[in-house]
Amino acid sequence: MAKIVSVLGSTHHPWYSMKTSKPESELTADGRSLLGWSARVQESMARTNPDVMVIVASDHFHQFFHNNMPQFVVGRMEAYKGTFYNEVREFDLPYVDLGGSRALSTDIIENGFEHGFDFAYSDEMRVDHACVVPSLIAMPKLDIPIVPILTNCGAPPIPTGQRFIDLGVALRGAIEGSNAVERVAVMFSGNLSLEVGGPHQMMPTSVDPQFDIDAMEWLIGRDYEALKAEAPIRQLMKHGNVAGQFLNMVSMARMSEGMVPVHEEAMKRVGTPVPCFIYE
Amino acid sequence: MIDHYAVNKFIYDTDRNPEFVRRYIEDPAEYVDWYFSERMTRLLENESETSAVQVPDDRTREAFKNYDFEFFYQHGAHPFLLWTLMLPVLEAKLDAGEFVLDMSTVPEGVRAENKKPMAYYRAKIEKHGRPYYGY
Repeated sequence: MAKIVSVLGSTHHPWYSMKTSKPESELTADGRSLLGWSARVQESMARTNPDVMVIVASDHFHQFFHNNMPQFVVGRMEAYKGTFYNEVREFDLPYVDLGGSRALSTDIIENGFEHGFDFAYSDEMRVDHACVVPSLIAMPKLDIPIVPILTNCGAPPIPTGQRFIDLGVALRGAIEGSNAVERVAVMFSGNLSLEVGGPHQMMPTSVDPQFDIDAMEWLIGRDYEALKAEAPIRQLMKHGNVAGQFLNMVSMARMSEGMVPVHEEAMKRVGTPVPCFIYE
Repeated sequence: MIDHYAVNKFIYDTDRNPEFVRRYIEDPAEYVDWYFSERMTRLLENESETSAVQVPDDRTREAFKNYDFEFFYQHGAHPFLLWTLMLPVLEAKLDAGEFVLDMSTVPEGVRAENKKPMAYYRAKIEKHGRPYYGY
């Protein structure tokens, strides 16, 4: 039976690599903060020593589009290529190669049926910065296999808040029902308020500072009624037009219930703060 | 109004292909006509077959040829897709001097990354707020 040794919640800030791959003397304050967060996550990974890292993240219209949009899809490969050309163009994000665990992926899909989730699956998946950046943060050598699980947080209609809560429960059950591996870290990749391609994009302030504060309180306090009330896409859009990936944090809150909170913080930045959670 | 699926498909399918992006920047009229006549109805995952997707009207065709992102934004094209394609377009056009940024529209304290394209883009779409992009 696999054990979930850690649950993590992290930003996938696409400029992570560009901001942190500089000599010490050239790092910005943001670059230092991101490296500090990476160090914390790496310390957790060293303490908990997972065999596999499951990553719950959202594809940014790189592999999936409205012609065929899965709500929840599990990658089922022994290896993954990561980063798309327009992410190199826009963010200078490196191309990466990641290991996979097809056996755990298959168990998650099959066990999901027993836990109320009929996951779509993909035997040919490439992952974008939503998976690549958390991988670079948690394991810069990219030496731990991953299982990517992509959620639809940005192509309406999207699942309800209750469904993201249920995902936290179902995924725990599906992972713990596997004998494919022994120790699993689960990384949830998302954000608080956030704007891309809207009037607040790249402004030096948060899109919605009050939402950032409220959301952290609701996540830490497991206030599921408040979280569900905020989950409809039209409501989330009040906090930025791509605030939807906040929903992955809702799944994180549910899955990590009962675990020890090691770190729960919204990292302050020039723009919108980013979620940083570690549970062991 | 726009046909949301067709508009988003043009943007998505163009941006994921570096050669398509190059053609769209260099000769938008030729590229848009080619895309609408040859590719709009082709299945994304099976290019030998077509679907019943309707080719958009002339208003949409002209808007793409003129990089009229404000038109698409205000009518609910997906903002993430739209910005991602317009970024390289605006970078190229601003660098070439074909588009000129009015510096008086640049907000205080905006960060350096993609500053000019973002400022140019923002100045045109800001008044429309956040149109709902479901359809």
